[in-house]
Amino acid sequence: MFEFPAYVSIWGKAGRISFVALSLAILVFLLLPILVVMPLSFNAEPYFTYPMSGWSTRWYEEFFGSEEWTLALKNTLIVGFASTTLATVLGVLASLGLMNPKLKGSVWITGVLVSPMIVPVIITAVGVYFAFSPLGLTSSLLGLTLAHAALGVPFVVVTVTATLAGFNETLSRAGRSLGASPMRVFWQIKLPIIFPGVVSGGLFAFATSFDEVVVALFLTSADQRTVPRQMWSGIREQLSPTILAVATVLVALSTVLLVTLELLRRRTERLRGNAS
Amino acid sequence: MGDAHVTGGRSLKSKLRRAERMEQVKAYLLILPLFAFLLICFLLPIGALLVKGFTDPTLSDELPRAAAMLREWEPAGGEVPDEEIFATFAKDLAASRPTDGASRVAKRLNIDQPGMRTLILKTANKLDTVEGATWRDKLVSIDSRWGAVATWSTLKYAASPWTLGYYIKALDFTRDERGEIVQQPEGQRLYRDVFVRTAVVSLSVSVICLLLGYPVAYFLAALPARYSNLFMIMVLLPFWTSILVRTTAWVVALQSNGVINALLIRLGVTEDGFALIYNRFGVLVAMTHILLPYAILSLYSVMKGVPVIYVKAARSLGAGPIRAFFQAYFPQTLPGVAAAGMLTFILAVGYYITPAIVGGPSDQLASYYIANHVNTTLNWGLASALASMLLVGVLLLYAVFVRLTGGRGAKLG
Repeated sequence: MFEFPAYVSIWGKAGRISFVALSLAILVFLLLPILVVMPLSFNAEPYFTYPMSGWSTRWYEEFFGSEEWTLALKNTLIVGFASTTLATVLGVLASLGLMNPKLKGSVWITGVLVSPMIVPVIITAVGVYFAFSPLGLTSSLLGLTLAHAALGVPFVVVTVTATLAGFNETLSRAGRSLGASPMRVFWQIKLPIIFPGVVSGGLFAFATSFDEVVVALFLTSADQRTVPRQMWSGIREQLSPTILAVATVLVALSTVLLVTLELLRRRTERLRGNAS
Repeated sequence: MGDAHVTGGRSLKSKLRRAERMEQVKAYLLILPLFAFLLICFLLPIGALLVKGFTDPTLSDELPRAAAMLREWEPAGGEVPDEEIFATFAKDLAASRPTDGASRVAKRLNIDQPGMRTLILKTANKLDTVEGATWRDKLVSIDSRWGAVATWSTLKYAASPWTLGYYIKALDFTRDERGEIVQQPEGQRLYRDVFVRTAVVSLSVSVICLLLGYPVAYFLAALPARYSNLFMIMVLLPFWTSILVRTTAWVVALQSNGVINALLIRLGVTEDGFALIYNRFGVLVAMTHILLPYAILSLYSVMKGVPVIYVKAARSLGAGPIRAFFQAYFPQTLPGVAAAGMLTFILAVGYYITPAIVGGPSDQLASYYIANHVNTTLNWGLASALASMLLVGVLLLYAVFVRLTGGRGAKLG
């Protein structure tokens, strides 16, 4: 990072060093709030400043011991898995169709399929709320699942079509010429190869649902509360250290998610590297 | 033999064409389930929302005959309607009472003209007992406002099942008593400010994101992979962390007895701490923090494709490092800068959660007012009009964004 050729002047060196310092400072700014909150969630006292008087896990016990929070966690997981499954199955099927070179108007179709990603979520939330209330789908986990699946679909479509673009069609043809049915080719050749892309898309969809609060605010009542919704009302009323414990758990979850995605990305890259 | 060749060729051609058509049909069939799902759970609800901003069915449903007659009446003449309309209105109002229609009418009209709720409910209550020769006399004796043109013109402009009223209101216009569309008086304008504020906050956030994101992206793009992967985690971890978690973190850090103020007081910079939250500063900090990873990742992907060789050439030709950067490197990254700026701007325009938590009353963006009209004031028509305007704005910006990125459109980090 700081190896300079002989011709670089002292000002050049100073400039380089201050540029690196600035970049690092901005990177620290990105991590700072997360790093500030994590230790405070172990604070023995219900205060939000340093130095802390002692360590304790009481806020975590409160989180996992409280009926409200465990119900919220249960609902979030149910909605997360159901909406991810729905979005992934529909999204993978559609991506297979989209990648067909004979398809006409694929630009427009893709535009429509990824539109939930572009429309501001408040508009989706209000539209779905108006449409679902006469159907009795508000205050129900089913309504929330359907809406979250719609929000997650673009991520599956974008990721899976990107993976399919790197898929070598000769492999399918080889399978077909050896007598395999189209279904068997899909299950035994195509799907295993694009699987990392499918999982990444699914993880994106799951993360979207897991983090989503605006639609949840409109479509749920007390019995269907989700973790983000519960956090939202907690922040707006009285910020308690329990929320920091929840936040820390969520950061841990996103770290797991990030690592998984990175491993999947490397696997795909390695496979591609070998293929070419 | 020549003939056989021709027929064989033809049948092969048609076979191929049929096989290709089958492929095409299969592709559409694979897309169909997702398309149908999105149609029902996303596209139709949003379409209905767009239509809702133009519909106003209350009066034409509850007072059908009076509404039809009022649509023909012209308030510009400066005279109240004739006795026939008075009589029809009274009968319709009486007929709407059993189904509670009168109170729906009252609620609806009160949005246009405060005070109409009590007027309608009072009139509906006294219709059977009031004395008078004509319906006009009866109504005026219940309340003198029935003798005013303004009251009837309020009714007239609610009488059609279709309306531009919500858009008129969303653009800070109003109808005067003769039905002309005029600007709201200075003190009552609201939504133009809201949209301007949304644009200003989003623009500030995307400019700050570009200013902070550019050096970081350049730093990451210039590093060898074994270092940059490590630093990339510092960008990706916040990117993947829940927006609510990050907003909460900023509340803890910025609040009046929070981490940063405690530090500043300890250092002796200030005695009582600064107001860092529930104001514009807090909104800008938190939104910048949330959108900065998007800007960095999108700039990074562009910079990775920019060859460094031109900078080296410029340097060897005698340009200083600053000149080499601005003349040989920076112009090549400009499309990426524009795309990153658009992306952060589009995302910022729709923000609701973060300003609602860390902003004060004068820092709320368009989304807040949409949610507020749905949940609190229950003026769903106005909420739909505001939402439609926001949606059209975002879609236009997105079209520009797609142009800038050469048709690739939205990309994941």
